Amino acid sequence: MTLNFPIVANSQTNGVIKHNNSPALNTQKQVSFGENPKTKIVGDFAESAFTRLGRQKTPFNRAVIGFVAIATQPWIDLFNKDVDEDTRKTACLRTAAKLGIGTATGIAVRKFFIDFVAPKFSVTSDELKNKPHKSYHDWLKPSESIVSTKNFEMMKRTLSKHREVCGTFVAIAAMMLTDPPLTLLTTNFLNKHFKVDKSKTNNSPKIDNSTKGDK
Amino acid sequence: MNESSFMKTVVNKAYTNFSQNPGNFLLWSGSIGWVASCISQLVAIANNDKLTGKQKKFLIPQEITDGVVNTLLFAVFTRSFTKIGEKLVHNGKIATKTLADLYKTTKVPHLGNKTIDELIGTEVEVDKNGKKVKQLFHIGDTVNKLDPTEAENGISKKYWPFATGVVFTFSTLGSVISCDAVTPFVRNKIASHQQKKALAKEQALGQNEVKTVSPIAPTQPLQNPYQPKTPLASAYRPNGSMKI
Repeated sequence: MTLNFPIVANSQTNGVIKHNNSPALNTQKQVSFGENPKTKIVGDFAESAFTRLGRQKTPFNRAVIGFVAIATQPWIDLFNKDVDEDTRKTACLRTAAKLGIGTATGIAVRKFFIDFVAPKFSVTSDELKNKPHKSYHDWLKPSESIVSTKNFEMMKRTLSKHREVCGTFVAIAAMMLTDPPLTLLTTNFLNKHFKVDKSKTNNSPKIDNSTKGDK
Repeated sequence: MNESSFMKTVVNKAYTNFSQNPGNFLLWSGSIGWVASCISQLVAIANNDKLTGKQKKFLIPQEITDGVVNTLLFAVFTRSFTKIGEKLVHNGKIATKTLADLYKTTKVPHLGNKTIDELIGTEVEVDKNGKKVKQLFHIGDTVNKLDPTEAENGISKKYWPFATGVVFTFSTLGSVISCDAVTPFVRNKIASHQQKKALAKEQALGQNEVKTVSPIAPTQPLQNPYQPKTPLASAYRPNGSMKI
């Protein structure tokens, strides 16, 4: 089947120009950036905001998730109709406390491994600035054969990101060792300070899912 | 360290897949974080002396189900939002004013010396109905292949901070919606359903055992020597509260 494309170029086609001599039957050309009415140019504030957010690392990502969780999940427990009022209040306080501890731990451990541990075993700050550097262990440094050195800006950017990547994964592995005893300590602390008065409960099941995924 | 060691292979893979792709990194680090959280909860349950074996038999499969659901929801939402952010910036759907001007002046030698502005949106793959299915021109890849001097002095310094910021913002938005909005409700529903099932099972077990209790009090002599001795029904009443 032969597809015939008439030559059309107007605003009604949303900027699509169809050629009847297209080298491949299944490709079309579109008008360029400046003329495409669907393209959005962001303002100065948005540009500044996106640029600043692009410089943030995983501790910031963890902080955002944690703080939004603290702002929302305790309220879910407070208005949970499956349990009585006293349990709701206790569950709300326990959830807030667990999320606070989990978020603080997650941010602190990530920051420690990204800022202090990874630079000792991967690319150093002096290397990123192209200065003479003191050599450490290179366990987490990528091989020279895969690092493109033609574009220094790109190399600096990717090596800096690589330091963050290694720091984050090592932090997650470290938290797998520290989390079980920390969970036990947290649970004992909360059980001691946020007890449910059993005489006021109706023996209905208590659902407590507040700290999952707090790595 | 030996260049061909397993550790070096893993580090090189991390560099290739994550250091040059921030959206991919947030997705995988978050998913691995969920899996790690599930594993540490399983270890905590298994080593908790205050739980009985029966409770552990219920809690461990529940925790595994929880972990699978959490990880899948996180991966689906974060991946979707990350893809949206990547398409918006790498296909030229959004840009800053500075970038818009740079797109009109920066030429790409390996693509016929055309400007990026002329190349954006070109070579689109369409299906037989003429509907676009794939964008073949990728601004990020093109910027990376530019002459280092051109990239250092011009477009690379402006493009990548903006592109990284957009992808990071959309990834974070996806993970927040997944972790803080969708997952708690889904988790509560699943946990509630499992608890009701377990309670119903316990209550049914308790009723069956109540039916098998002999109506004859233990102090009275048994009329049938083959009727087994059983304690009073109240001893078999199940405990309704479940600690999770």
